Amino acid sequence: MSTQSKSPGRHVFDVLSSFWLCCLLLLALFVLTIYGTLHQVENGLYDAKQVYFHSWFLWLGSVPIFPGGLLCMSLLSVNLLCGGFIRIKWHSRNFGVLIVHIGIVLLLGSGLTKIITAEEGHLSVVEGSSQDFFESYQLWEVAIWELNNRDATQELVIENDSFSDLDGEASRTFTSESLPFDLVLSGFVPNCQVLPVGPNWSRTGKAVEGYGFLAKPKDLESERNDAGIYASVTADGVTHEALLWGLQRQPWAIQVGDRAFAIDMRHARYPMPFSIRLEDFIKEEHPGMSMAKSYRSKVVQVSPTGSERPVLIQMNEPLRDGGVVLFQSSFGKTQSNAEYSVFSVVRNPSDKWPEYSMWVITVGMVVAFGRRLISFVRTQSKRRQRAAGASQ
Amino acid sequence: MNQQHTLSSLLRAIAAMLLLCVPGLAQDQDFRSFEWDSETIELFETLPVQADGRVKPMDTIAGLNLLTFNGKRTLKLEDGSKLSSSEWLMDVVFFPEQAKGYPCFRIQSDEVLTAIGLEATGKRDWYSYNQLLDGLTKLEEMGSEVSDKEAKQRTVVEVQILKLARDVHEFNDLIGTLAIARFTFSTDVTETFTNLLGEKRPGIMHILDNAAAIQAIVAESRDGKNDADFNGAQTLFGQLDTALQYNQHGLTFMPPPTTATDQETWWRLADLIIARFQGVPEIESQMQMYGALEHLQHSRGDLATFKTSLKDLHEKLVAAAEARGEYGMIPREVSLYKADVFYRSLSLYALAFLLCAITWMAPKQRWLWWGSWVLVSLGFLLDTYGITMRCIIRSRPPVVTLYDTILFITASIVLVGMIMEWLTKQRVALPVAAFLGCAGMFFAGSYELREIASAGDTMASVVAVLDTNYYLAIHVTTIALGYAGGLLAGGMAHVWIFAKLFGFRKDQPQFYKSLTRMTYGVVCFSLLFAIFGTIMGGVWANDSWGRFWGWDPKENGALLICLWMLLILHARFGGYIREHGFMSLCIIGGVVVSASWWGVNLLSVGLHSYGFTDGAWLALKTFWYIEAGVIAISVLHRFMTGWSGPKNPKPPVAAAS
Repeated sequence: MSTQSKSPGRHVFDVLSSFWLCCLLLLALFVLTIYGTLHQVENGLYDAKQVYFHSWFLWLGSVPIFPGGLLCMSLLSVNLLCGGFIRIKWHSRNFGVLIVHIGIVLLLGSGLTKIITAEEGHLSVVEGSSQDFFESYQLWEVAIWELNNRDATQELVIENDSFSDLDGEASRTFTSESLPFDLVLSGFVPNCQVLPVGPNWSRTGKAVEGYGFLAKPKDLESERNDAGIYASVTADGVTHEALLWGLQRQPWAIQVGDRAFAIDMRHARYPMPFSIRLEDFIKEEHPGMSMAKSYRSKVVQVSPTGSERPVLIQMNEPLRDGGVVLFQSSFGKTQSNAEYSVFSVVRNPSDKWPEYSMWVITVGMVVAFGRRLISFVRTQSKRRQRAAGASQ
Repeated sequence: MNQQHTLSSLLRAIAAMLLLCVPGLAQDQDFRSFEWDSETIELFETLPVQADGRVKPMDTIAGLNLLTFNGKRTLKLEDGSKLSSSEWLMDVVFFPEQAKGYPCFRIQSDEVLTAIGLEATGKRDWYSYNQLLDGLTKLEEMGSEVSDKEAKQRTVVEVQILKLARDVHEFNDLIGTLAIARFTFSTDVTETFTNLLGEKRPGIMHILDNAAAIQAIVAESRDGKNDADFNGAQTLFGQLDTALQYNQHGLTFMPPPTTATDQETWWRLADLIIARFQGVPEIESQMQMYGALEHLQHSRGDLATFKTSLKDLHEKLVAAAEARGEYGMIPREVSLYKADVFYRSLSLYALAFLLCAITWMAPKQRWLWWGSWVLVSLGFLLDTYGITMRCIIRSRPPVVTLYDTILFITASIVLVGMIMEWLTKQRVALPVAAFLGCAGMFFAGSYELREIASAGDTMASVVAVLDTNYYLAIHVTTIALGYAGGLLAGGMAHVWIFAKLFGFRKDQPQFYKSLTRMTYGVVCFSLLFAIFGTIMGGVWANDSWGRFWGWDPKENGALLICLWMLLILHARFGGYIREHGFMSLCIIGGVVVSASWWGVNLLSVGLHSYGFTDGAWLALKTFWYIEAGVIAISVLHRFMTGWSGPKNPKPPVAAAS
């Protein structure tokens, strides 16, 4: 078939389904993985993920210089669909390869689903107490609620994406019918400390009541960053202003008319479909050593209807229910010497898909390679028989 | 040797040892006047001891310590005679003054000795504790300074100083094991105590036997009722405190009372003394064990009496350990180390490779070829036996630590190589398997010392997240099989490239095609297990940490293997590479496996940063340079002989065949 007879669509399809594109993308992913791994040593895992794996391009200034992980994996998925399903000969000898490709699509699909929909965070609970939400490790939110009427359903929340781009002078105004004021946010600092303004350091952004933000470099472990933002409220002709900071112990309280409001910057919170009460935390060590042998939490899962279910959460044995999964993550003691347990919490619709894909891929590879092995053994056997015949 | 020992305690240990010279310690019979006999050695080496989180035989303690200090499991003395590790430890425990004269500390650089103010006898040499004595204070100071430095900032000499400081610390702990049993008390503190305990200086056992009476005296004399007796009691307790100092870090070989079923940690002698004075009930069997031990210490001057006492102690300790179900693996572990299976396996592989090489020159001598088969099979069986015994002893799957990975991957390579040889009969896979088997076992022997330095044992306890035999058995073993396949494919590719280079069987194209098919099969094998193992690792991570994939360096390393193997197969399917390219990519595949297996650990970041990999960087770089050289030679050779591509090049095909 001459190339001249091909339609442009066919050309595109040929490219997208080609082996060379597949090889090129595998090589690009290989290179990205190497550089992304080395990048972690100096810049931390979170940064490496953002720059290399969760990006469409790698940038040198404003010039894209290399495809990012998202682009490579998306193109690889397209290549797989076009070449591995449509263009491939649907023949019994390709049966194993087809199964492998189905498994890989499922695997890539689970990754994509997680990136788009998953929520991740942690939940710390002291023995005897309970909690029904978990907090993000990295993302922040600004919450507003009316004092003396603290009901979670009445909280107004401004999500991370709505203010994390407000660096420098950029500002954004947030309004709500339920609020008698507008909130203006500006000067977001990803990692900072609040200090009294003085001659020995330069603040970032505005100062409020003699205090300002000292911007710090982003920590390699992103959960250690403490973000800050400048907030102002104008009501009844009076402007109130404050520096909201992630480590602040008390929310900012303002009086508007006869109503009082609290505004707080905190890690983003996600509700759970049940609450968890920690009954007991148990840590076992190897005999004669300080190395942990196991740690586990005896918890009670309390449903919204009030029914209770005792559950043991330990390493490698998480609690899965209602679309969320709780993992034993860490532990510690409060200042009052009470033990607390920390759980990593994930809400991920594709939680079990990788496991299914693993079995699908394995079956496919066993079929594909097994078939080749049998063929190889038969060929060898025939060759030896021929050689034996020739020697006779 | 456990890194958890801080150097701050080194000073305490040295101070404690200096106290060996105080009047409270007996000084008689400091030097052995007889040879240890086999029965005594066997009794000693099968004594159970708890260390590094598990119960193990004294033989293992002896072997691991001597290997750490000396670099070998045997000790060569200045008169040319040799001591086994158990004999050495018996001398260390029962005749410490004699053991202090043994040259058991291997010092790699004379700069270490110069740094601690001593004169070196050679660039690299062995020294005794007594020879180091004048430099110990300086060694402790420098060790402490180096310990405070970040690992990456330490120079080679500083690393060796730190190692020597830790070795001396450990040695001090060992020679102090029975110091408490050599301690004697001054009883003439008051007339009451002299009447109770006698005028002769008694040992601790006598004090413990009278613990209740001593406490009664204390109770009757306190609150000013009898100041003399009360102060006398304090003097006695002061001596007891001094005695306890000797046993802060020594061996832990006393099972706790059977009534303490929830108590997993065994007792040191100090624990018994404390328990006795605290009035802990039902510790009579522990008292008897200690009595036997003290008797053993005092009978060390005569072998026959010593052996009888050792039998008595052995009986008591074994019975107590068996009652707790903790003795079963001791004889197995002793026999495993005695058999020295991994070293023998190395020798067999080396011999097999030698025979294979001879068969290339004398191909008609079939007995040589069958001899190679027998030797490789025996080497494999020994390797597998060792791995299996380690599984049984630990009740764990075969691969838990980095050291395990070397043993398992080596055995896997040899097995796959034998299968390939059996299928193809080209006399290629077997020599490659023998060579890689030999290299693997040599590597295992070299790394063993580093693992001991890192974890105290090659069968050490695992952290909480690894406490799952299901995932350890499936994920870790399959990923190790993926590594094995990648390395074997790289090995086969070397044979292909060098055979081409030297024109080996150049008139037999079938030979090269067969080799390519074999290597292709091994790549498929590697890919199958690498992909399964990598995804299984993600599933484990999902159950442990709540995420399937975290872009952690070790995960990325596994991904690199999968991506590279997929690239090789797709490039071959697409017709972009032929035999030469395929083999060159397989060699790079071996490099990728080495980077994933060891290289990412050197980055010291991520959740999988484990194992002691100091010094591995140089070895790894050397390997990479050699492989880069092989590929360069291959490309050059290909260039010089002409790029004789196919006359009808295979067009890229979209359909995977």
